[in-house]
Amino acid sequence: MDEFSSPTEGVVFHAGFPNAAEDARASSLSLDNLIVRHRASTFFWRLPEGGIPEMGWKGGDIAVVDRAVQAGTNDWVVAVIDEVFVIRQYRKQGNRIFLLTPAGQREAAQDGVLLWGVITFVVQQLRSV
Amino acid sequence: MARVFALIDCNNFFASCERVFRPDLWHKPVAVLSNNDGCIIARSNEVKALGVPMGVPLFKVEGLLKQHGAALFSANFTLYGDISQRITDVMSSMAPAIEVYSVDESFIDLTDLASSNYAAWAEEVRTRIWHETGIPVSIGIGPSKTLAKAAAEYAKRQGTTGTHLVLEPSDRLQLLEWLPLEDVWGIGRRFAAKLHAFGLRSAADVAALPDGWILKEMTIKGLTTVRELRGDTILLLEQDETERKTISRSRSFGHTIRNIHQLESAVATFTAQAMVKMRAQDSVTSGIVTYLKTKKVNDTNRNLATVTSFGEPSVDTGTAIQAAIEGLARIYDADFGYQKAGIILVGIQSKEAWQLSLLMPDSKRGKRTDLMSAVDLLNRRFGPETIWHASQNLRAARWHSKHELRSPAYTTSWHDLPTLHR
Repeated sequence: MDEFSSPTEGVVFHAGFPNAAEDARASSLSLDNLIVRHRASTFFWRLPEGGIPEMGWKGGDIAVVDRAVQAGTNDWVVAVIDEVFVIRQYRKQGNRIFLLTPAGQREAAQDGVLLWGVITFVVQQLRSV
Repeated sequence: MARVFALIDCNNFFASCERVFRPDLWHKPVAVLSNNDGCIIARSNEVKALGVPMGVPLFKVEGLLKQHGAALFSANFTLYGDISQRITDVMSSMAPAIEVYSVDESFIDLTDLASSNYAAWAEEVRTRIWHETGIPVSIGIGPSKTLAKAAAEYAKRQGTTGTHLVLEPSDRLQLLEWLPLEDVWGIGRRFAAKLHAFGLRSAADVAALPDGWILKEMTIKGLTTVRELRGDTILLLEQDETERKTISRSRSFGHTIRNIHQLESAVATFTAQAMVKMRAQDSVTSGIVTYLKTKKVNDTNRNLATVTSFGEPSVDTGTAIQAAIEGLARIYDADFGYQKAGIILVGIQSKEAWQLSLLMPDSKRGKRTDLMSAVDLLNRRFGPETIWHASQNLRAARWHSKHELRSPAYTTSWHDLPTLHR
């Protein structure tokens, strides 16, 4: 492995809280600020095993779900169908609203479908660090 | 200007938290057990309808609950603390001034609200908390904290909209006639029993009595309660703006408590309140002292105390409650009755100072210093009789009591995130 001289040499790191040191430098960027717009209503979910290959999302990727956001057409959403949390795509055509499965099929279930939240980001880890 | 208060009360809070990530339980009975899985400490409406009382030992109702397909959970205070914090965040964004009264109740002073359409405001709060956090709440609104609390109780038990307003005198009289004395905030079951002996049953009965009688039989505290019931504003939000190095909360129970689940609930509430105050002063805290005072045995009270470190400074209510409850499990001794419980947040420092300290090489600060100051504090406060339990790190000492039925830490552990389906 190549050796780099770290720009943070001499800094004491405390494992588990890498953010805190970042925050102290007012100008540096925090991914948390970008991704979590509403702290109260943002929840993290795992994508299902096998992922959503249609979108290039892998199993175990993290979906950032904001429950305070109003769904718009083509948004990916978390819905509750038959007592199960599923990932769907939201479509609105005129006054008609329907959900598409990841394969693009019109969702069959009509009754008792609940829109739980809107997926605002998908976080994908490419390799272990 | 007349004041207006709201009380926001989470319905069946712990049971509702357990439902957030379990749609299969949205229409099933749900009960939450104390940390040793001994007693029922929260019930969904379905469980209440079965006649299962609060605090009942599980073995007495286990058959009935199983028969009705009830889901049972061990208390997951990390989850409840996180959701409580989210609800406080939502409320804070919509309220001029807020007092977190317990882990599932907050008072809000609406006097300075821009609009006087309180019903519309309440509906928006309820809708937002429900949509954004998944927790149903009841809201009571009135000219005093005592009436707001009573109105919330009415909204929960009688109402259809989840909100009840008692701003008009006629609404207030109707509420007082409905309200049993034992449910009046500040009176309680034991004092109500005394008042029953005078033939008094409802809040309206005491509100109609002359002040002199109330002062004589119910003391000045009772008169405050009664005047609040009549619509006078006496009590204001309890908000402490001064910055503190330690933040503590405690209560003398007035009677002896033996059940650990009652102590857990008290300690969780104190911790939630203290953490709100701590965050309000832009601080972080490193640990928490949990303490108990026993009732007198051989003419002496025993003080039991322990400090639990968070491992790293934190602003998180869930972490703090978990630590406080683990501390409680270490000092609790079932052979004693307890007359007081409390918590103290220790190792408090400003968030800014803490962040800067992380950038300093060879900083001497850290857990050890925090814990040493906690030891000093305990010795000052309780004297040499304090029974000292070695401080333990939260991560190192996973607590050993039963919690077989605990739900995952959905919102606080990367390993426990809920999974979507295709």
